[in-house]
Formats: sequence, C-alpha cells, structure tokens
Amino acid sequence: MQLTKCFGKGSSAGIFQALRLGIFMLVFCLGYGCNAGKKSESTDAHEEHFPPHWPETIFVATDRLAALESGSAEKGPDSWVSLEQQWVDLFRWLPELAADSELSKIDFDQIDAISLKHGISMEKMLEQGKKLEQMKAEPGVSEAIATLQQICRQELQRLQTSEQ
Amino acid sequence: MDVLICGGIVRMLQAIVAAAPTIVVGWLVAAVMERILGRDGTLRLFGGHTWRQLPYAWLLGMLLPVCSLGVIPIMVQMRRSGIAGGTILAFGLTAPLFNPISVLYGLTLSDPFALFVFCLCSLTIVTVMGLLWDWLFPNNWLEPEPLPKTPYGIRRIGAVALSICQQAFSVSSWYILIAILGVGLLSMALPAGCLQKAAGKDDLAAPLVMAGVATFAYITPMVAIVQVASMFQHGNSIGAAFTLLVLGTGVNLGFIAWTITNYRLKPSLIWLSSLMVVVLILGYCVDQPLRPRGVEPADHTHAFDVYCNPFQDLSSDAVAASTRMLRDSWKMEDLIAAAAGILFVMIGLIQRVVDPNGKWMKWLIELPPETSSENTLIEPKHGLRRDIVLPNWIIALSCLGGLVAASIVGCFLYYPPRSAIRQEMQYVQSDLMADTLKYEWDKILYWVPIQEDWGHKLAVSAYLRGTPLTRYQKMKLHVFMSKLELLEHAAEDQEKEEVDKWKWEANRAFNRLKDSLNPPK
Repeated sequence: MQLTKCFGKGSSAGIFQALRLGIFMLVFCLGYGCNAGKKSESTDAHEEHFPPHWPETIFVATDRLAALESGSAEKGPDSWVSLEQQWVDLFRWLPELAADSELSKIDFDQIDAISLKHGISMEKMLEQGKKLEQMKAEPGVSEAIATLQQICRQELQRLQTSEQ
Repeated sequence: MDVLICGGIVRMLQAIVAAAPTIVVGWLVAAVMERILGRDGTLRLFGGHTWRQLPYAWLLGMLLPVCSLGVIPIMVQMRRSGIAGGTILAFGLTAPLFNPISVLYGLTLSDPFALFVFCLCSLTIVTVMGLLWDWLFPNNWLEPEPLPKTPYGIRRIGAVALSICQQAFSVSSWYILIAILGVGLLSMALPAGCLQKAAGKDDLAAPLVMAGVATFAYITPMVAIVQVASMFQHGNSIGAAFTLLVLGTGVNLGFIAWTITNYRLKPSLIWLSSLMVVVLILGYCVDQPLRPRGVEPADHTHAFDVYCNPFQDLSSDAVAASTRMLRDSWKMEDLIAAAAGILFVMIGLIQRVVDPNGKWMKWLIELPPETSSENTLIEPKHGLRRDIVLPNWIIALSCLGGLVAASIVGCFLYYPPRSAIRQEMQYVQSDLMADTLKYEWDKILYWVPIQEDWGHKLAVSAYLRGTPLTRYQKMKLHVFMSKLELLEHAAEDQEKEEVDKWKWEANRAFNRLKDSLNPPK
C-alpha cells in the first residue's frame, strides 16, 4: 500500500516494464550460468589449477630447463604446449616453486632475480614468435641455468644430510 | 523448491546484515542533512547549481562510508534539497564505489596501477553520466522543500536522533527492501556455483554477463574490492572485474526503482542504458591493457558464488542448514549494527503510529517564544554558559577531518599488527588442521575463508605500517594461499585423498610463511 503510494499513479506501468527487463536479464544469466556449470563437470581438480607442464618442484623445473637447453627434452604428454611456451613458463614459475621449498632467502633471491631477468625477456621473445634456439642463445641464459642447478644440488645435499 | 526459497532467504538475510552498518550511516548522514545542514546548507555543500556540483558529489561520495543501500536515504534528502538530478545520481554511484578502507585494501591486493585506472575510469563514468543527465534533462531539480530551522543545543541532537528513526521508517527503506529482494531473486535464478566459469580471461561475454548479474546484486565496497583483486589474482576477465566494481557496488534494484520513481521511466531507462553502455565500453577497453602478466588463469573462480543459490540440494533439514550458513557468515559488528537498525525502525514505526502529526519533532525544533527571533539561531542565549555556536566552516572542517581521522583509525583497527595477525593465523591453522583430520567438511569450509582473510590482512597491515612484505614473504604467502584454495576445493568435493594431500601441503606452506615473517636472529 505504502509502496504504491510512494511510486505514484503514473509510474506503475514503468515499474512493470523495469520488472520485465529484470526478468529478461535473470533468464539470460540463468541460461548462461547453467551452461557454464555444465562445463566444470568433466574437468579434474588438478588440471583445473595446474597447466599440464607444471613442474611439481623447483628441482623438476631446473632439470626440465637444463634438458630443454641441451636439446634432450621431449614434448611429452603435454604436446600441445610448445617447447618455447614451456621454456618461458618455467622461467616465470621459478619464484613460486622456490617459495614452495625449504630454500633459504638468499637462494630464493637469486632464483627470483634469474626469473625477473629472463622471464620477461623470454616472454617478449615468445610474443615476437622467436624459436627456442634463439631464446637459448640469449646472453646469460646458460649461466642462469647453471646457477639454478648448483642451488638445487646444494639444497639436495643439505636435505640428504639433515635426513641422516 | 526448498533450495530456491531457503537459498533466496539466506542470501537476502546475509545481504541485509552485511549492509546494516552502512545503512545506519546513511540514515545518520540523511538526518544530519535534514536537521543540521538544512535544505540550503545541503544544496551549498554540493556546490549549488554550479560547475562544482559534480566534483563535490564524487569527493563527498568517496569520503562517506556508505554502500548502495545506505546512499538511498541520502539521495532522498538531496532531492528534497533541490540538488540537480545528475549530481544526485553521480553521488549515488560514487559513494558506494570507494571509501578509504576499501581503496587501501585494494591497493595491496592488486596492481596499484590497475586500481588507479579503475578509479579514474569510474570517476570518468560518474562525471560523464552526471553531465549527460543534466544535458538531456536540464533543470531537473525540485524546489527545495520548506523546512523549519532547528535550534542549537541539546534539542538539535534530539531532533537528529528522531530524524534517524524517521529515516529508518520512511519511503527510502522500501527501496532498500526492493534492492534486497533483487538479491533474493538473483540467487533463486542462479543455481549454486553456476558463475564459477562466468569470468574467464578469454570469454568475450564475461563483462556482459557480469553486467546482468551485478545490476541485481548487492555488494559492499569491501567485498567488491576483494572480488576485483581476486579476479586479478586468478587471471579472470578484467573487463568483467571493472563491470562488477561499477555496477555491482553502485547499482541495485532499489537504486533503479528510486530513479524511476523520481525521474520517470523513460529518462531513467535512457540513463541506465547509457550507463551500461559506457561501463561495458570501458570494460572492454581496459580488458587487454590491464591484464596481469605472469598470472596463470584459473579454470574457475568461487568469487561469484555469493550471488548464486548457496545450496545445491537440501536433502537434510533446510532450516538447520540455513541457520548454520547464516551463523557462519554473520559478523558481530554487522549484527550490532543490524540490531541498532531494527531499533531505529521500531522507534520510527511507533512515532508514526503514536504521533502521526509530528508533534514530537515540532516540540524539538520549536523555539521558546522569548527567543524565537532569527538571531537566536546564531547567538543562543539559553543553555549552558559555554555552549558557543561554532561557525559552519569550523563544523565542516571538523567533520571532514573527523572522517579522515576515523578512516585512518579504522584502517589500523581493521588491520592489526603483524604479530597479532600471525598469532590469529596460528590459532586458525590449528583448528583447520584438527577439522581436516576428522574430515569435518563444513568446518573446513568455515575456517579456510577466515584464514584467507587473515592472509590478506597480513599484507595490508604490513603495508599500512610502513614495512611492506618482502618479495620472499609475499611469495611464501602466495604459496600458502594457493594451497588453502586447493584444500578448499578438495573439501567442497569431499575428496578425502585430496584433502589429505593439501592439508599437509598447506600446513608446510604455513610454517614456511611463519618462518619468513620471523627469521631466526
């Protein structure tokens, strides 16, 4: 009662039009939403969060980078991801992987610096359509991978010693 | 059927309680405008009918801690004070969009440049829409309603208090209820979790869908900024994030109903469609340039689950499930504000029934006969000896300073020191671990968002106190939050093996985060 009074006589038709518009939008959302919901049923939780070439640890990432650099890496099951894309992604993921380990802050800072330096430049090269061979030829890349390998070797030794 | 009705009611109750603090602030501001500033003062505050009105509208809008529901009583007062429609609508859109606490929170959660661009685009929209309204519909203001001046002193405080209750039980509350009804309808129309894939990075329809949802949704400024930040972190569509921020916080069904009632249907629909078009154009424009680099786009997000029905099925007791969900989502401060709001509405109702002619207010604003000259309003001769009348500019400056000071104090209270947060996180982590060991799904899903909230607060608190987290600490926090999210997903799916995996991973990440915050000396 109060509501009709406050809306006034002339505007009640407007309210119905607005409601009609609202219902249309709701139906639109509902239709879209239901379709969107169906898509999620078939996907696996791990696949939803991690790309197929996600390395579980910093050690795996370093080995993979070294293999890509030496040319011994195969595409593997994630063959739809190009080797160039894998190379760039691995460089970008290094800080997160390093933070998800027991590496010291000094080691993390070193890895982070490598990622910052090469991750961005590699990404640009990827956007320019450069090949893996050209990316590997970038100055400082071999040294960066060697540093990563050294850090990982030391960390593995430390872990083995602490286990004993 | 139970799912639809219970879900709708739960979402409406969650929204009204979350909005309670800002609705009460809205009533207070409206009462101050009516009884202290008066019609002339309110018009002057918003720059009169000059070019200053729009900048003043968004400046005041950014300072006042109100949401899109709390802004409605203020808009009613502005309309009665003869302020132009464009200014009122600009204020109505800006006030809920940003406040100091939410902007600070947003700054630490997402890229500051992106947030700056969002702010700039929002202010552009508000200004353009205000100008467009005044250009399309010139001289659209009402003549200010005559309002007797309120005398100084204790009676004025009483008049403001009574006015708050009158605001609470007034037409503006109907619009608030319409907005809340929109929230209920939205959750009834959207099945649980159906928006999880609605904001994909490469989904061209994402801003459009978000515009449809956000128009009906009610979002507090804080929730909006958290959701926008979460969309950045998950690599979702930036256009959709922008649409959500502007339309989700600024527009709701009550706002639309108020506009139609006051400015008729055709102008309102023209304005609303123009707003949608401008927001969508800007949303699509900022989508590519602001896309965060190096963020792996998540396959889905839970950020928009709050707009959908909370229940997938209600095989067990529907009332018990709804009660549990409400109990988990309500916060003590919101409940206190809701109780105060109910009290104001009740007093307003009693006043309307007992005193339909407004004698209480007349008594409060009536001047004693011997002092009823105009001068008494400036130089009172009654009351306490030290009861001096301050010039308006001092009051205005004090209010402004008070708002800024309150915002700063509020920030420091809301984000406790790092040590306190660390302690809280430790307690939550212990409870979370205990519940994961017993596979208590509801409890796990209760603790994870709380722990995530503390994680966000940790970053803001460090930033606020001038000792921002280092990159090392930020990464440790990021890893911990990622593991928490995976644990949450596993708990949602009730996958015991996955929960076993991610609980240890999350705990290990938490211990590393703790160590990074307190490095051994």
